[in-house]
Amino acid sequence: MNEMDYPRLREILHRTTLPGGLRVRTVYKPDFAKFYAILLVNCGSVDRRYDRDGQLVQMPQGVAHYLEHKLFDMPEGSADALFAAIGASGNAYTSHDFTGYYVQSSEQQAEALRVLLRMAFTPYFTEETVQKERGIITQEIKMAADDPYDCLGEIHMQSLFPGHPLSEPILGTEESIAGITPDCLRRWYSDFYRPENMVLCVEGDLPPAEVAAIASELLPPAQEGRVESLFDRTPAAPPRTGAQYLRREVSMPTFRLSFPLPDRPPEDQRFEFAAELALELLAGDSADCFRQLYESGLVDSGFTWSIERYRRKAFLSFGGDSRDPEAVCAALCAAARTMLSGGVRSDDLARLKRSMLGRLLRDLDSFSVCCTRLAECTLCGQDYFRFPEILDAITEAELAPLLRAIVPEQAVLTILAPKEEAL
Amino acid sequence: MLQRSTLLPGIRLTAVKSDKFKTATLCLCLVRPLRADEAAMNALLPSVLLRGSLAYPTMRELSRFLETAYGASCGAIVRKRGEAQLTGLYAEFLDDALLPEPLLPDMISLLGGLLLDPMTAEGGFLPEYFAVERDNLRNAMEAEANDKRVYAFRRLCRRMFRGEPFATPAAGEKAELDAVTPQSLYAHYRRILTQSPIEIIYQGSSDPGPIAAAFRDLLSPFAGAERPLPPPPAAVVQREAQAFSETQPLEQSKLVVGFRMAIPQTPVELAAQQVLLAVYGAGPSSRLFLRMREEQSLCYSVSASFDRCKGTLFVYAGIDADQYEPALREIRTQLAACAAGRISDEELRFAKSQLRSQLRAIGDNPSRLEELYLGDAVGPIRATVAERTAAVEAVTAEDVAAAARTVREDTVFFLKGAAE
Repeated sequence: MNEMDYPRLREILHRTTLPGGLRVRTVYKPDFAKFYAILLVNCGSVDRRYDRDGQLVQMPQGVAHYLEHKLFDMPEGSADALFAAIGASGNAYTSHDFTGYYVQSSEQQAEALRVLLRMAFTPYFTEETVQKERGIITQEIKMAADDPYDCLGEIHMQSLFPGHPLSEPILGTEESIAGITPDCLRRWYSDFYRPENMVLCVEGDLPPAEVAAIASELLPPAQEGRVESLFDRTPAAPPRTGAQYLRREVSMPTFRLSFPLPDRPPEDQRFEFAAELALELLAGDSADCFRQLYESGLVDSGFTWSIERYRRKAFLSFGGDSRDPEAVCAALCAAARTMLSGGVRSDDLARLKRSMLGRLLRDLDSFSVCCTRLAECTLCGQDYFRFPEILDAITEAELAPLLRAIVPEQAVLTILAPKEEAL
Repeated sequence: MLQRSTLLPGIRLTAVKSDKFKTATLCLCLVRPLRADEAAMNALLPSVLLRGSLAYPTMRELSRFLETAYGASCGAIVRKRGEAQLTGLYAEFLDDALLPEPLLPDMISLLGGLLLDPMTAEGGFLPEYFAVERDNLRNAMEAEANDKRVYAFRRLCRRMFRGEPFATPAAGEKAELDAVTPQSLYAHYRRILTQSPIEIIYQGSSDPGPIAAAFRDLLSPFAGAERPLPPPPAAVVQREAQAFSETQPLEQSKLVVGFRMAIPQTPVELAAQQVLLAVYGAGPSSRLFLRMREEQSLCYSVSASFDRCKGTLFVYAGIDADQYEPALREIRTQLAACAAGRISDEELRFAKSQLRSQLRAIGDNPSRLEELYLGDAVGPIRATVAERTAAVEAVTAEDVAAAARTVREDTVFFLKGAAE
């Protein structure tokens, strides 16, 4: 067990790797009743085509999410009931690149962790239970289909990454999930749910040694063979740039606007922080560009910007409601150009670094945010808790290449607009 | 450590001193009766105030200050609790324990300034600030139709509570908003500043003494007048249950059922209703979830919720259009089973441990504390977390059944999906 002290965060992190390769990270908080644990698996919807010992395997769309639902089945019943019996609540999610299982509780923490790990390490499904789940997931797919914002997100990804796994729906489709059998799920499980492909992060009143002991006791055996997702090897067609409209019953237009970044960005927090600082300088609350857009009623307080990254694909993204999204796009591109020609002021950068440091420190109050971020960083080989030092080191020179991506020719703009209204 | 004090008549400070968190929070709320003719103004007010004060007159100055203050954030609070409406401001910032220089005094001045020294012109708020914020709120009101779940709840509420204050949404109605001017909003603001109870809530590592003194100084010019609490909801005459529906081009239909129930007056009555909710429909171990989702695959989402200050219980389910009858039957059957006392020891145990766990976690979550104490400010029940926990422990199956027997179906709304 390795103990790392982070004085600027006032946090201590315990790290260990169990036989078979499961990495365990514990933030011990004896003065808290709340408790959070997440088991993060390094696979998601984008990994459904993969190479297993030289053989191409192709799973139906939605397999990662389907398995996530079915792992809650255990020989003695549903994991939900086992969680409920100890006052814990467990849940899970599937994203493009991760599958996460988590539990929160404020009593019987050791037992809550045991149930979480037993659930995740016990693939148990029958023909009948897999069949029954289809109805539930079909309702989930229909719910998403009725949500215009979900549709906007999906179409946006299709424009950014045409024909690429990132453009596929995480839930799959009604047709694709019809092809998911207990065999598919078993195979997906044994190929991806390998100890070396997972990370366990725990925060709360459970000593690190106990966390490691519980995980060791329940750990599944190491798997034979080699599995490699074809995600990073699948080429994407060039993005569909320009504006694309989607007409739905909505009260006002909503947009997603993205600018692709070159492939294979460095897989570290420094790159993400630099991108966030560049975006905040460009369009944050104190930026001239944002103020002008806001005061002219072109965006409201729901305007967002972010750096999105799925392993080696990354893009800068903006979104929100606007009566004229194309004008917002033009204003952002013009502001990026101005900023590149005028240079970034060092006092502006210093102020925004300080702001970001404060927000990142405050995020640590949420055990779920802290553990999830810790797990993601660990899977990418990063040390999450080093964020103050990483932020300190970022220079003005790192922001320019990011700002250069914000040009009209590269804009992928998807607009969800009301049906009748002609814009 | 929790400390409550009355700073001035009708103005209270609740301070939760704790050094467990990196975030300190401060919130300042006016408590208003929920009324159709002022709800939209109360919803608009904080957004206009947040545009700038005499000290920070523009968004740019305000944002730069917040960035320099280690990414502090402030925002609007607009909430509906029973037939009361809360309108106010909050700030979240890095706790002084982590900083070389304290931030708290600056944050108190900031919130005080935003609330008490707004930018004005010609006897009203600045017209350009007002216009943008009114348009934003109007857009948000119109957006309720975009989210079908929200839309279904709003339609149900407008019909079920017609003629009662509770029919008004937290943000008010559009027709009322359209009539508001910078001058009328300013006049309303001046009036409610002197006539409403004010709840201030602080959570952080600092001593409450100086905070109380600072707010007493800020607010003493407004002291003197009465600050009456909103009246509790009036008793409702029981009526025959009603059902209505609407068809829209949707893949999935939304079923919402509104029930009336007794308004709990004591922690014990509240605990019985909370256990009922947990057994019946809140969470993945509840009856509705297990029967409707896990056993019958009728839905992906089904849940029950309640408003303890109004005495209502809602059930929501997203289902296929042809499953209306079976879904509604199951919703009624499970409630009837609870009322008949068919609650197993296991269900009772699960529900209690779920509630106990939630209560234990409240003290570990800065925003939950604020919500709890604001809720207390308007409801009939004031109790500590320990008192609430003890009340939950004491609930029996018969208490739960008795609570279920006060539940009466009132209105069913079905937003039916059909092919376009």
